[in-house]
Amino acid sequence: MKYIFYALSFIIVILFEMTISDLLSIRGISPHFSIVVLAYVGLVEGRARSTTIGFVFGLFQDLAGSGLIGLNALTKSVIGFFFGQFVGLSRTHRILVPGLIIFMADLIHNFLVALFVPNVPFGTVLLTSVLAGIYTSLVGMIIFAFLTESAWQRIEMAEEPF
Amino acid sequence: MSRFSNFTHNWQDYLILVVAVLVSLSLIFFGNEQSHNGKVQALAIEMMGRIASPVWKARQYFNIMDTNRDLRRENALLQLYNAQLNEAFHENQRLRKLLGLGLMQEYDCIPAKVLGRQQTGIHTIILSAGLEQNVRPNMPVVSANGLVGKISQSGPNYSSAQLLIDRNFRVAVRVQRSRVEGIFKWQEGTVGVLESVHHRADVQGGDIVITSGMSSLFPPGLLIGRVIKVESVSTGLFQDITVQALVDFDRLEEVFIVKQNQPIPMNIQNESND
Repeated sequence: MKYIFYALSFIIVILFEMTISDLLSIRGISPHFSIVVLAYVGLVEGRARSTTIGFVFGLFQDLAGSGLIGLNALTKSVIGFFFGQFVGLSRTHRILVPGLIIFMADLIHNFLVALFVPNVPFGTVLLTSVLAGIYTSLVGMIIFAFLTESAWQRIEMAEEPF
Repeated sequence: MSRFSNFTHNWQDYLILVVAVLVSLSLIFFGNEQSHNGKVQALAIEMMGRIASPVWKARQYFNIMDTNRDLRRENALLQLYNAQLNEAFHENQRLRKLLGLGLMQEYDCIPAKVLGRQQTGIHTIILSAGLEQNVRPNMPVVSANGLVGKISQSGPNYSSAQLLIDRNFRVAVRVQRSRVEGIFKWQEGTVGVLESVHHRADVQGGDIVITSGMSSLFPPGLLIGRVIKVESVSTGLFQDITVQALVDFDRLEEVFIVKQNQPIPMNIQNESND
């Protein structure tokens, strides 16, 4: 049941990112909702499972978008592992810590993508990555601030407390 | 055996990460050939296209009044422009006949809606036309403002197109006024650069850049952008030319896929015009 919920969430997120996230774009920079969803999965599931879920989700995203196959699979696996480090996060850190780790994950994602896109000046990568990271973390903080009681219970009851 | 299972248990998380990274890297380096992933990717595009299509319709519903007003205004302007072009076309036909240049290229356009976009790595969009509408890989994709990109993958009813703003995209272009040729590639933000233009070549700010037709993929004359900055480096062989694209890639809703027909003799064209 849990995995069906994850699969549905990811399909909705992919659809949202591909079709209407441009409405939220500021000078070409859109928030990565997929990273926010993966943050929740990582906090509930831990490193091993969120790495696997990130890989499967990224691979589907690659296929659906017809981009470089394997690129999203790579970034989402690494990010899934990263979020898994913070499994069992306490709700006392319900806004700032999620915002910070989402920002760092978005930076990791953007730098990994930049490795496979030729001839991008480092300054451009840095600027767009930081701006996209700030935007995604702000969106992430809002979403985590409004997470339901049961969702926070699932995070806190996860195996390895942070 | 138990030592091995202890090891895998202790390092399970790291092992999963290493395997996921290795598989992903293998896919990046060896899995991106058309022959390997063509059918799977076409299936995924078809699936996403089907899901995204109702979302597109919902979005259109909210924009329909504004779009209608803009289109009416554009239509009035285009009718005036078309009348001028028609005159020029017939004049051109007569002159070509006099000069003995008997062959003209003819194009068909396949309309398609932009259902979705992907901005990670390769910039692509998903279009609502596929193999059943005769859309094939490498066909040029254009909008009213110029070249948008080219078809990268086709499913039965949906396809994906690589955008001009993708870093791997190159197109042979020329400056419309002075006929100076170069290579256009995207740089950053909303601008690209014109490469391989000699430092003495005649290029000025405000010049319009169009496709040159030197590449077999893109027909000549498709709008690319407007020159916004020209810098001549005294020691260099080439100029640094910055070009602002005319297409607004953040607001793409409908595009046309250009189907290039075989050149046809001009007398047949004349008959069809008559």
